[in-house]
Amino acid sequence: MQASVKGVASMAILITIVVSASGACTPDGRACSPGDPLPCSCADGHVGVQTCDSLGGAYGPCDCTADGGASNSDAAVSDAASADASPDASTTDAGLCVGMTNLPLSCPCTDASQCADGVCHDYGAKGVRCTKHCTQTSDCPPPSTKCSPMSMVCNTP
Amino acid sequence: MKRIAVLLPASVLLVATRALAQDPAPAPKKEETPEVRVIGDKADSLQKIPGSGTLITHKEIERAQPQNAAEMLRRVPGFNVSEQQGGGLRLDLGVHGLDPGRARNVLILEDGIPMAINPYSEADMYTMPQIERMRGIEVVKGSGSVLFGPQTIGGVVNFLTLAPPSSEMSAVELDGGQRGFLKVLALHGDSVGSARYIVQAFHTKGDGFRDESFNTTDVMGKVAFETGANGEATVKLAFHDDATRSDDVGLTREMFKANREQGTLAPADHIDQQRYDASLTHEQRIGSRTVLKTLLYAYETKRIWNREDYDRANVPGVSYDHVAGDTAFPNGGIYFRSTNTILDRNYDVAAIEPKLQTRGETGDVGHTLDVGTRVLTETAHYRQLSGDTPSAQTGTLDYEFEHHTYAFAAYAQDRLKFRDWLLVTPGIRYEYADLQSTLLRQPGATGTTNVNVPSNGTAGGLIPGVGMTAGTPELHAFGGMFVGYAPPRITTPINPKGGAVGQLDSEKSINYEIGARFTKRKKFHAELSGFLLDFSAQNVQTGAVGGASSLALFNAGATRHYGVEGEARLDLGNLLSLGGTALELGERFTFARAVFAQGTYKGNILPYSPSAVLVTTLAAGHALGPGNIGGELGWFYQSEEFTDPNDTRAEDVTGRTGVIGARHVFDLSARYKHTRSGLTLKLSAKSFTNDIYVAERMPEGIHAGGFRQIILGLRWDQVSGPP
Repeated sequence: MQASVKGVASMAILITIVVSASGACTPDGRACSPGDPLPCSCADGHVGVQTCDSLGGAYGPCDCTADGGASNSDAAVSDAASADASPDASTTDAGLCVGMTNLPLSCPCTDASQCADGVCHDYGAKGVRCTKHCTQTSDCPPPSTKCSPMSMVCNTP
Repeated sequence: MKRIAVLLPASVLLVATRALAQDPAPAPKKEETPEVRVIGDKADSLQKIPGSGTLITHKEIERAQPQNAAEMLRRVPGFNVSEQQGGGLRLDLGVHGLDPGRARNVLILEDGIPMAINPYSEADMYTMPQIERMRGIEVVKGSGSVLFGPQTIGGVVNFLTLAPPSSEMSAVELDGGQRGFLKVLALHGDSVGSARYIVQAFHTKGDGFRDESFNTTDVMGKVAFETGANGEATVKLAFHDDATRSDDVGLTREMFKANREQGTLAPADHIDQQRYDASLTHEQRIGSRTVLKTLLYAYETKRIWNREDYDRANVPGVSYDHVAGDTAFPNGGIYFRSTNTILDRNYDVAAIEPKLQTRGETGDVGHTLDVGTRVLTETAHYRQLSGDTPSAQTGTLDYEFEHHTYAFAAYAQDRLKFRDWLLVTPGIRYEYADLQSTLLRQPGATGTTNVNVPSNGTAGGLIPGVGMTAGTPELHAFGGMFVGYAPPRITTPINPKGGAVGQLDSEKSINYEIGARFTKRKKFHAELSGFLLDFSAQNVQTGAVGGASSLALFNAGATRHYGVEGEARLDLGNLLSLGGTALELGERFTFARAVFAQGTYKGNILPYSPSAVLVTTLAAGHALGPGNIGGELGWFYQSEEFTDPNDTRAEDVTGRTGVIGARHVFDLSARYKHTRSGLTLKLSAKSFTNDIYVAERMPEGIHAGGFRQIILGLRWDQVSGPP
């Protein structure tokens, strides 16, 4: 029994040594993929883009002049969420969409931090609006009418 | 090398002749099912294998209540098992830092028979070994793998299926759990005269972790019977069917950040797969020292995978079915087209493998000689069609490709017993493969046309190995070296997006191993070994470099893999004198470093090769009332791993590149068996902390793992005593 306990103790010591050694050997790999965009916060609350340099050494400064690259340029896209929605977008009470934080469902947004439920989603032709994650239609309060099975967010009228 | 090749067959003949001459009397008949083992059940079995080995017993499998075979395989030192896609139906398994993709670097056997869809040209595991069939798992990673093939770089895993019983036994099981999980299993076995049989069937279904619903049906039957006074045979027939939603495109970085449990982005993606197996294993005893085993087997795998086409940027003029992700951000969205690609593949394998084992002596030196050959043929037929809806079942034939391999292997291994405490085991295998491919249809400047573009080649060579053990069955050291070999791979014969047919070179390595093993009755068992795999050429995943699929492989040249691994099992119940309470602590660990040794990536860590894997289990059992209560707590830890040859740390927008962080997984299982009725109530909670992590970034984005799954089951077993 004493020998077994000694064996276990020896093995535990060995494991500790090797765990420490393996942690110390972590290489300095490439920091990021060249050209990779990363969202960043601009001073005015908008979302800008940082881009990884050509050597993959680091992300560059936050570019707040860019428009994000694709917003509203994909009118040909038939997003399941927007395709199922009513074409009448006037049902959203514009009066509710005042302020920069805690915006309710369907209010225009540029950043998730503006939305009460923390989700700012691009609905293609219907614009970028606050919504919430869902798994079923009952998760979605009006004016939303259903939970989009593709994007798992509530649709927007 | 040539001298070894000549001397080994000569010594084979000498020893076999002596053994036959000295042993006219046949051995008494054994009540065992003829089957191929890589370790064996005897107390000194591990001492006899020239290198590291692991045996996972039926008791361990029963205790863990695994949902799939991967759960048990990740307990093997040196193994790195990734979470699988498609409801856990496929296997990603790496060894010693080798690429885990579809377990292509490990030889996976079931009762000694290969499981890969084409063992030579496409050694991928598209079907997970069904753990419900298994009574044990044997793993050999050292030079003992010389006896098997063709793929012997990472080692050999042999799954042992249920054996036909000598008396009547039956079982019925019903399991149900979260996400619509349901399993129904029935088993029956008995003996009729001198024949014994077992039949098992089960069906599982569920909604899957990411809305990837699955349906699996599995049937296996085995019959063992006498073929004469000194011969037995086992016939096995098996059928397996999978129908599952299965995507290859994963989540992007922002999608995973927003919702780790997000469902599949491509719900129309679907796999239908069937596998048919038939095998005959015949064992003929020749005297008391010689056994001839012959395996005859054939299997077919049919797979149709429908995958919705998609773009990572909005292509003008293309009609899209739906868009996922954040299209306002560069490359943040995935645009799914209104069309799909249908990958229709059919694989056939047939082989015969006679294996002779004989024991004899030359002077004071004992010999246990294994010799054998394998003649194998395999075919693959690939068709790629374009469907005009996201879920189309048929469409326009774009590509057609056919491949045939005709392979021959011969091997010999002699376990030389110089003393009771000193065994030296040299072995050698010869592999030859004739590879013939024909491209039958492809798109061209004038449209898609039938063509006939053949390509041929051969591959093979001598694969030697030698191992040594010194010591008693209780305490011994072992060491050895062998050449690891993988046949040339027909890589992605038809690129899903269209493209050329490619073939990679065969892979070769020299593998070294040294270690020690200590067993004190059943109270304590420990094994510790160090390893080095020195590759002159290895194929490695590109990790989405240059926009190619991250599953694509390239010849990375020389690589080195080294580290230590081991296991310890301690019977605490016995040591602490806990009376009727059984308590066992188990620890398995691997510390490895796999690096590129030349070229652009020299010094970088290979993709999907974590530096540390630790598995700790604590199992308990106690007699309670009219039955037994038991359970097991498992903790699995894996350190961070890179996913591309550049060792890129930051996650890219598509989710295909970037370091995968360390993960901890906790599993719990409990059961109560009422002895008299044979009823067992089972409860398992897999990943019970529900700490969802990035499991893989291949083939195309983030696939998550670590979803909690609680399953409750009831099983009834009825076992008759011997007549």
